[in-house]
Amino acid sequence: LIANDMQWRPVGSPLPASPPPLPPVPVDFTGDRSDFRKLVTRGAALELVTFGFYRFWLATYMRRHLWSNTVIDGDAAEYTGRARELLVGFLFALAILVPIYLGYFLVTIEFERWQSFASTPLFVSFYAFGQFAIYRARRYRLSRTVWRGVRFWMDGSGWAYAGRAMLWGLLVFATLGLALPWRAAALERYKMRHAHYGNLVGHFEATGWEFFKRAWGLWPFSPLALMFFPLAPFFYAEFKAREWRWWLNGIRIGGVSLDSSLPHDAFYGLYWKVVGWCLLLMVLFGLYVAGAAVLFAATGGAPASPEAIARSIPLLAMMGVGYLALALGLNIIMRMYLQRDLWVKVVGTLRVRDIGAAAEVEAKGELASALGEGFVDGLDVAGF
Amino acid sequence: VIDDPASTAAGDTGREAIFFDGSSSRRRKVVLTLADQLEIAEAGATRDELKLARWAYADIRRADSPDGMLRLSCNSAAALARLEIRDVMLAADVVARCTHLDEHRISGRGVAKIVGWSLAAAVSIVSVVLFGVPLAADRLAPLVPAPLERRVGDAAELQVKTMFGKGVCDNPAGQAAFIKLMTRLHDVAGLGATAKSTVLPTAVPNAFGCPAARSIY
Repeated sequence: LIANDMQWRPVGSPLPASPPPLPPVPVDFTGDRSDFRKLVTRGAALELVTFGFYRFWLATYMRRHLWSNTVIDGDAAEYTGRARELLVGFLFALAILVPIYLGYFLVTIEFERWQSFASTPLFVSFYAFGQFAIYRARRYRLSRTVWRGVRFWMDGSGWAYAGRAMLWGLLVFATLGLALPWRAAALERYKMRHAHYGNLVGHFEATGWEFFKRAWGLWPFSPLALMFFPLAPFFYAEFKAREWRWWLNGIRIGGVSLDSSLPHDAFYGLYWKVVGWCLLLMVLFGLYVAGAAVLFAATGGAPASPEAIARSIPLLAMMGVGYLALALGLNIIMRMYLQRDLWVKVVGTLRVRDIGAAAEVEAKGELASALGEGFVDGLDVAGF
Repeated sequence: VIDDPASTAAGDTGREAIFFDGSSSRRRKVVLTLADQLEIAEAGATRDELKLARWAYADIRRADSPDGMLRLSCNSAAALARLEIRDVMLAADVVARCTHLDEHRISGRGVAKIVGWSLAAAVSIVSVVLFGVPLAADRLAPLVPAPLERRVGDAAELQVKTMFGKGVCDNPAGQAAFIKLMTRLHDVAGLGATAKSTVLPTAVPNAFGCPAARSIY
């Protein structure tokens, strides 16, 4: 920690005439947890009724809640994106992806005729698409983020980013994951140097080596965590906390820098609560199914053989309803703990240094389309 | 720097707000005048030229904000210009005058519209799968060109053979029995002479039918 603090000192000698730097300001979260719970509960129910179409609206409402309750130096941020943009982005992405999937299918046939499984490398091209999507999705979100009447924005090329991500991915593969920190740092450097707040330019100061120093101790345990289930949530929570802190500490926008004191065990509770709730819901689902079967056997007639139960339409319908309720509950839990609570935990550890550098920033930058968000949805890739 | 108590006239208390003009991130303390339009002037300024903006009440919309603060935008001003009112009384005063404050929000009717369109989309997809695809399949199957079908068949056959070994069972007695069986099947099913069947050496009891009338056992 001390070593980290040393790094935030400006490198050049400060001018004697300049005023003393302002103390770092905290970032506050003022949102009400029950408001968010109502939002995601209602959203999950509507998602169910609309066969998932409501998710564009729900995602937008969740972001609006999180953004507008995040207060930096006394002023709350604002998310100006709208669900309709996400929907249009998704439809565009679909219109592009469907012919590609079709072309992929035809090319696969040609390749497979020549040599079986020769088309596997083609699958790699979808990975490139996914990386492109991640870049463009961040660009969309950033360009809808407003603070003090000035928006953030991004330039740079999604394809250039995807190219970098592919090459670094190759290196990570060749080094059995050891190069992961350097990949993360290099990709983040690209993203951040194309990020802007008004006329301020961002950059990323954290290095792969710093990330490596924070996280290398976890690397030998990764096979163990995969094999021995109870360790996995701990392992993941530990890794995520270290990654978040490293990432946040590296962010610079103009002269403004971020500083996070996120403890390494910050997410343990969250992940265990998610695991606990999931188990509870599954037990409830099991009891419900058993109860329904017993009910059916009691009312349906005498010869209640297992096959008859499995074939009964009302029973299947009841199980379907139970299954949907389970999915709904899991969605609510994920959003409560892994989006809202995680956000609040991270934001609570943040401090902004030299906020004065953002006191008089000239507005600049264009809005980005939601095509990237659509691809992220269509390809089902994670990342931000 | 902007906050200078001496320059704030006594009558301004309770009419103060924060203004961002949308072209700079500068945080301005302003005083509001609720005239025929909402007048926004730099705090402490009395002269007209220091007026920052005049917003027509009908153009004012509510923007997202934390609890305890009213944040406004204006359709006829810069898209990101924001006025933030923290005083409850003043906020209530302004809200009472802005008739279209929440017009851009999705109402209950908007949600019903989303649900309705989603249901329509779902019904359309389900009916295409249930009725459209079988109908189209019967009409389209004869139209798929034989060479394309053969290509798909070739690819699938190669994959299956890679998975289960390249060898073919050719024990004469077994072959004779197999051919007898297949001839009967062909006759009953009315398959043409193009249908080809192969036996692979594997312990897995299974049969694949590939496009272009190829079957592998």
